[in-house]
Amino acid sequence: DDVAVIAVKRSTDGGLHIRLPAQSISLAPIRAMMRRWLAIQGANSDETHDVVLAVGELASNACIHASPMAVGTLSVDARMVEGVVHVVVGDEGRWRPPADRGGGRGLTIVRAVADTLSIESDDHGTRAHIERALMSPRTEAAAK
Amino acid sequence: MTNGDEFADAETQHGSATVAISGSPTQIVRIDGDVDIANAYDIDQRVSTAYRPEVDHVVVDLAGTTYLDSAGLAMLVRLCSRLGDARTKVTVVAPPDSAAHRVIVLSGLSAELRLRDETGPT
Repeated sequence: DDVAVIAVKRSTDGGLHIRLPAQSISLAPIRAMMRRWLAIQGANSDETHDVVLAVGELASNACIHASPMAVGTLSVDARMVEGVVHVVVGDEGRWRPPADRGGGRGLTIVRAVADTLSIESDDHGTRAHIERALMSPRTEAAAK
Repeated sequence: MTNGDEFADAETQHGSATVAISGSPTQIVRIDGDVDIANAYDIDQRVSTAYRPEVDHVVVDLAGTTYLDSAGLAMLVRLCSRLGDARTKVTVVAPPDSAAHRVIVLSGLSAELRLRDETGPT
């Protein structure tokens, strides 16, 4: 699929960097790319499910809250740091409080499956950062 | 009416998910694949359209659901609420090791969605 090829760059640090339109049609390709990348990092099936779910929820939020007048860019940047998966999901919108959209069940799910969640908003957009430690991450040496 | 019943038994594609609906008065709604904000509303419409007054129990089978997020959960909660209003029993089925089971339990919705491990007599 051409879209994915254009949007994904496997950088030299072994991270995954995705740029796609902040639209719900982007969510399935993001999940597929995250699954492949997590498999390379040594994530087991539970860890893969949880991280993909957390990223999916955050990306879904980004689509809902992306720039209201035009379709902005949704970014997903994943990297491994000492056995811990770090993912930052960014968009060009400002999130309203969860109460504005029916209780915020999505963020509750993210908090349940990620070790940490932090969200920051400024004039450029919103970035949500999650971390999840892996039981048996592939070592740096083995990955090279 | 015949056309409607044929439609109700057909498998339909909704983006990354497939929905198959069959049976009466116990109606099995099988949802395979990924359910997210891109197709949750569409699936909701499909299930609502297939509902018949003679159905007294809807079993939503999520064993083949590979991804379910809060948009999918919201859809299931709406569905259960509407069917409850129509005095129709609803059961959501997802095996303990399935993606759907984990999300439903994490969200504390097991009781509200009447989550069960497998299909069968209740």
